[in-house]
Amino acid sequence: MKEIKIFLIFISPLFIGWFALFLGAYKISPFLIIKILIDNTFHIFHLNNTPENAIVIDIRLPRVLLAGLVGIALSCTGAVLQGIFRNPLIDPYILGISSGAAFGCAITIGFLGFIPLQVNAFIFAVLAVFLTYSIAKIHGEITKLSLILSGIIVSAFFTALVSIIKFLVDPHKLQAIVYWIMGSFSLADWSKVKVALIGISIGIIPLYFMRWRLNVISMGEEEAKALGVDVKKERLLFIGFSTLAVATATSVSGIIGWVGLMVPHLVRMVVGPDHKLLIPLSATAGASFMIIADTLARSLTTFDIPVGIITALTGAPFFVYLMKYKSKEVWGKHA
Amino acid sequence: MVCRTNIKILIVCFIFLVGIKEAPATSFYIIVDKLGRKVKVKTPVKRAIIVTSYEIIPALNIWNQIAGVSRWVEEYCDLYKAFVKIDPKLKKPEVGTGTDLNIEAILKLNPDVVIIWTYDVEVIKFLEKKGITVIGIYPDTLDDLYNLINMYGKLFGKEKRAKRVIEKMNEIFSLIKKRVSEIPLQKRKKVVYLLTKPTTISCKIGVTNDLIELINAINLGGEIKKRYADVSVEKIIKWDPDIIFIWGNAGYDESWLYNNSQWKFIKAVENHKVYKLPDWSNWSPRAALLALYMAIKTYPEKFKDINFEKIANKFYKEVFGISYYEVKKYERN
Amino acid sequence: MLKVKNICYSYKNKKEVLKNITFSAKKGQITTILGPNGSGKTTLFKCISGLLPDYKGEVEFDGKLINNLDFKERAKIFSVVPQEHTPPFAYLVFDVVLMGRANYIGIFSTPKKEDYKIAEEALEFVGIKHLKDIPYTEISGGERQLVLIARALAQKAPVMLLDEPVNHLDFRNQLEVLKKIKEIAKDRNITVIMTLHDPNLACLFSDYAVIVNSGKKIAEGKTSEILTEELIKKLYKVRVKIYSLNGHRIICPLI
Repeated sequence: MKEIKIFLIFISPLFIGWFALFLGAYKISPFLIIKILIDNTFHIFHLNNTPENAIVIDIRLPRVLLAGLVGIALSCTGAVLQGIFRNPLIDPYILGISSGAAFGCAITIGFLGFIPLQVNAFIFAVLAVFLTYSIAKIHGEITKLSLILSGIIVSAFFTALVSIIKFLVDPHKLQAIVYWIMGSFSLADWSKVKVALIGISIGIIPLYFMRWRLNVISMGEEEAKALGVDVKKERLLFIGFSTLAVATATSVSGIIGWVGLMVPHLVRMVVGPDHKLLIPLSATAGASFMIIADTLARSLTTFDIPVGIITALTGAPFFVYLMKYKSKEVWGKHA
Repeated sequence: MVCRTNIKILIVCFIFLVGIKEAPATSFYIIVDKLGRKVKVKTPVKRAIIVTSYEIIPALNIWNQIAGVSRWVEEYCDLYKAFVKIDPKLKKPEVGTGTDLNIEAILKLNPDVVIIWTYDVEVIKFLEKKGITVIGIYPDTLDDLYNLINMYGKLFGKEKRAKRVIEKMNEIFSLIKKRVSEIPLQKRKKVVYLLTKPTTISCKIGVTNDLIELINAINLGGEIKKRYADVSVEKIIKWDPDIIFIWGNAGYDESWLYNNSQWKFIKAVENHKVYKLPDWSNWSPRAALLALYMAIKTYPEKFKDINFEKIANKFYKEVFGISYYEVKKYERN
Repeated sequence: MLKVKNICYSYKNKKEVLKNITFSAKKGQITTILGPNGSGKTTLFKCISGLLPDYKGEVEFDGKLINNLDFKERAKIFSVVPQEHTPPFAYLVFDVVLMGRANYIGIFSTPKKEDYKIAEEALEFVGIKHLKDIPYTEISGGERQLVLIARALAQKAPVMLLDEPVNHLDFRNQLEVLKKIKEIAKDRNITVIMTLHDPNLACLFSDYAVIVNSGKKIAEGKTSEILTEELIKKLYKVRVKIYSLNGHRIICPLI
């Protein structure tokens, strides 16, 4: 029974992504969509110059792929960081990535318009984590607590900077900044998919290979050391690769909350906390979840709702449910 | 002797009566503003602070009656900038922005009234509490715009001038209407008006929508009963507009759409009928010129003989008292 | 043979906690470090296991100096069994035992068949194979302690260090766990070092003892020989009478 669930979660992005291609404001018959996909792979039908082709291949497909990639990045790193910090309430933005990226966006829209927004968002996201790490080191010893506290400080700092910029720019730029921060896939295109694929792969693939070590590290620093694990070095690697993946994801889609927090929980409820399964299944479940949220965001109403709103609306009630009914089995000693 | 005293009395009475007639009539004007608040203002206003729709200053020539403006006035109003460049003495103190007012600066200027757009109701309430008379504005239709201009006229004792401004606007609207009124429903062009982002469009509520309808085109966004909304690219492809207008203050222009493969199949993009408008506010007399601009781009065949700049120049001279070319220097598009 | 020579340790700015402790522990038997609370035995334990690396003195195993080894090298020699605890996530018992193989698994790898086999064997040896697929958080305290011992076993290290392994277990579990540890020491020829504060348990299960008090070594030798009534009086300030019963020595406090 468990094996079936695992298998389903594993392949879910394929059929959910597939299904998402059939939904959208512009009604296209499913047959035509399949024809278009075949045509673009095997070049039989020569449908290249039709609007339907542009919609499926240039609009929907990159959007679904981008949502999937960002979902993988956020959920996978959420699971990794929850393991590193031994705390199921961690989300991938905890080390300051989101505020750093928001600052990169604000400063681009506000003043540095000649640098592409994505580049700035990425750079400042990584810088924020670097700062967090450096501040945590101040007492010489980096501990979980010092990292989390530094993360809070760095986040607050960048958020304040963003507020200053918001205050200084004119209302129209302000609106642009606010919108970007809300998180959305509405401007997804192939160039963003390429960037995301590279950045997120470089981050996630090593995390995948290192995943079993999280079991050991999550037992506690002293215990892990006694078992022969160089906790400091491995933690740095985990954080480094996670940062790469999340910074890339945030730079192409804005800040999308709750996914990195919720999906690992959901997967843990089904397959247990063993990271050997948790990491890959969080990735695929995250991709599916994100694609579903984004498809809802663009199909529920005439307008394109920012996807961060959908994830937040599903996030809060989910957590209430978790806390009420499932705390013991999911959270172990934190019940 | 009695006659001479009587005559003196008569002369004094006469002078007195004449004196009264010549004295400026101060009266009170009660307005119901956009938020439904009843505001009583002593007219004519001698010191007003306005943080939006600045064009009304040269239009009604009320430079002496304005005590302060917003920080963004030169960014957003090329007209103001042009006037101030010619005569720096006209420059007014700045009090912050429409979304972020500096209360102390306002109080220091001791205004009779503050005219502000209804972006943040809390600000209006706050100013009220401090004993300042505030009028909140947000013209959502062409009629609202006319009422606004008339309101300004009454407030500043320039009713005649306000009427003239509206007359001049109507001249242009009539010019447009005459040429487009006969276009049958099937031949009306479908228009989408893009705002801050290419996927944010202008919808049913707003001066923009009224202008589009006035030029006898169809605002595709009009099916959404809001001021503006975010839609997906697919929706715009589905609508397939003939013309796309880009808001003058947007951070992108036509080339962004022309170079983007996702927009390729929209008629307006295929036929290169994407136009970025001049960066003028449409909460002003220039709304008429914006309408003309849009009309010319939408139905070029009906306006072949019209020279936009010539008409604009005439309008500028008659309404604002400045040449079009003098102001164009400060336009950002 | 594990040799501990002249260990001295002081926490930052505090007085010396350990003063020149020297002792040795042989393979195949349990050596208990016995002492009251605050005697320094936990500090000593941490120095030996490497958790407090800045001690003075030497630790040697089979002639090789342990002091400056890194984690991985140390873990090849020492396995540490902490007191049982609940982790933040409810891993299955088998997964916990499998963690003992961490030192043999590369950073970018996952456990191989070989590792699974060893973990299974460890579980079997400790006698808790039936608990294999149960979440670690759902078993009793005594069973959890056994799981941690199985994990240490899977680590295949020649020295096993246990810190107060039966402190908060009930009467029966204390005996079960200590019995198991004794089996392991003998069967696998492992050097077992254990800290205890209960002298009776030391008597029952430990062949060899090192008595520590106020940071100094008081005595070292076969438990049956060095644990006398005077020593206990000196150590715990309690008067006792020691009886022999069935070949075991029982320490009875005189209340």
